[in-house]
Amino acid sequence: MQSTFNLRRFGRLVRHDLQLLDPRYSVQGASMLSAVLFPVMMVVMQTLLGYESNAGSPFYRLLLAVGFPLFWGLKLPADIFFRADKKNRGLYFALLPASKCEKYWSMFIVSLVVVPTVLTLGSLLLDTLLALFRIGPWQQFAWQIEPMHRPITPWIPRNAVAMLLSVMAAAIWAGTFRNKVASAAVWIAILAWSVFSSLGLLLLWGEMGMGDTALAAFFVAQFLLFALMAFVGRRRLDRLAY
Amino acid sequence: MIEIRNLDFSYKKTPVFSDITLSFPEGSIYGLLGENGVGKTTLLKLICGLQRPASGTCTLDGQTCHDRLPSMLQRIVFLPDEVMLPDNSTPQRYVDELAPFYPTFSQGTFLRLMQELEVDADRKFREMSFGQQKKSLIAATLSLGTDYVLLDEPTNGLDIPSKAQFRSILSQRADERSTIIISTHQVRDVENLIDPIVILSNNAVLLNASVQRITEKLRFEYGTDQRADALYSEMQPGGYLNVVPNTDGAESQINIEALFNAVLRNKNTFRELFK
Repeated sequence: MQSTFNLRRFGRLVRHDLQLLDPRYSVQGASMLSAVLFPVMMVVMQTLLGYESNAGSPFYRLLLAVGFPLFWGLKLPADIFFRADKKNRGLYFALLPASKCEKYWSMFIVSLVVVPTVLTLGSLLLDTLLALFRIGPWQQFAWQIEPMHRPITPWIPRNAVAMLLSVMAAAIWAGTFRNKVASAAVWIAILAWSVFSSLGLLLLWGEMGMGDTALAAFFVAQFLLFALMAFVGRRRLDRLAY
Repeated sequence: MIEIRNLDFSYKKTPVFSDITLSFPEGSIYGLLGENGVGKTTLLKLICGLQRPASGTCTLDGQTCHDRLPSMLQRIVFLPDEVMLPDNSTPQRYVDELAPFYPTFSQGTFLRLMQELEVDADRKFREMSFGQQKKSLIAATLSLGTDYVLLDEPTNGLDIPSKAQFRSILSQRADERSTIIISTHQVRDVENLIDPIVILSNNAVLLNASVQRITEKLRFEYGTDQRADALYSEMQPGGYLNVVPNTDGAESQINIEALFNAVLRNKNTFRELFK
């Protein structure tokens, strides 16, 4: 049992994995930190483009502040690719004195819990600060959502397509990421996912008027995607050879 | 002790090892030699559990290597030929990340080795030359204090003074409980350091013998003429270097490069000679 899981060793590993995200030393860490600013940038861009009625709405901002950082959690297979599967860097990961189980769960916690939580809280904090000073479209706090009663049906097919694309992306990514064609397909799929979730859906949001149910559905969908990513990542990790 | 028993390994359909049996007892610096592509790096990867044998076993003190159990990983370190280092990081930070996992790590040893190799522990990797990065990694690897140290082409990229420093550092590091395996093409860099010598070729181990045993069986003779009974002869300034069977028990200084060429040209003879 000690060789499979040891709490002290696991703690050291989580700390080690968090240190790898230190923005002072890691490009990945720095880019994640910049993700905190993304929702604000989106609102500013939408406002400048003339969508201010949508962009400034608390619902829209809440969705950006919570939804976009969550997207980073989907990077688990990508993290495994960059950290564990790449020939040279992967050796470091594989030879680190911890069990495969500990390595996976540490990666899981950092990628799917710590990073999305920190980014979400960062985004919400920034949004709250802007709302506090009533700057530009930030005239209300994000939690001051007005209940909406329009049906969510038109939203479901769009998100289903987005989910399907990301599932395909994950599967291709996890199985054959050394293949250039597959990699290209992955990037296209991810790009499509991003377009759907961050632009396409958001532009239509105000018209559709999604309520609490839709918001809940969005989070459930995200959770399911997380679970899938976790499963795919674990399978990949178990099969690694160098 | 590292023990390899009846091991088969192949990359898809390309066989690398076929039924090899080999052991590396503690207390020596092994030299792993062989032509390009014979599987030197693969053997090191099998030992530290990065590859799984198709059949046979590879164990480290009785633990199956490819299980990569934490207790085994704590006792072995592998320095590959090429390492992708985080550009913005520093050698000190690199060891700070690793140190909590290795109870035998010594910060004092690390700083001493960095000083001997003349590299600044707080300088960013991206500001270093390839040779300086390599020296930092050598210092980090050796300061972890593991019982087993696997080095793949460690002298690649090192300048001439650094190669001498490397030999000196490794000699100091060797003790009776540690096992160091160096895989290299540059045999002159590790001459007088490695003992025993292991030579791989064509899916098999051609030679695994101590320097003493080799010089008991072979004589490395410098003369003006090429000997007819030489297993290998090489023209050198002023005459020839001949590798001949040591029939009269005379002592000679081993020349690893000549030994390597002699082994490759007389595979069956060497198998018989060192049976």
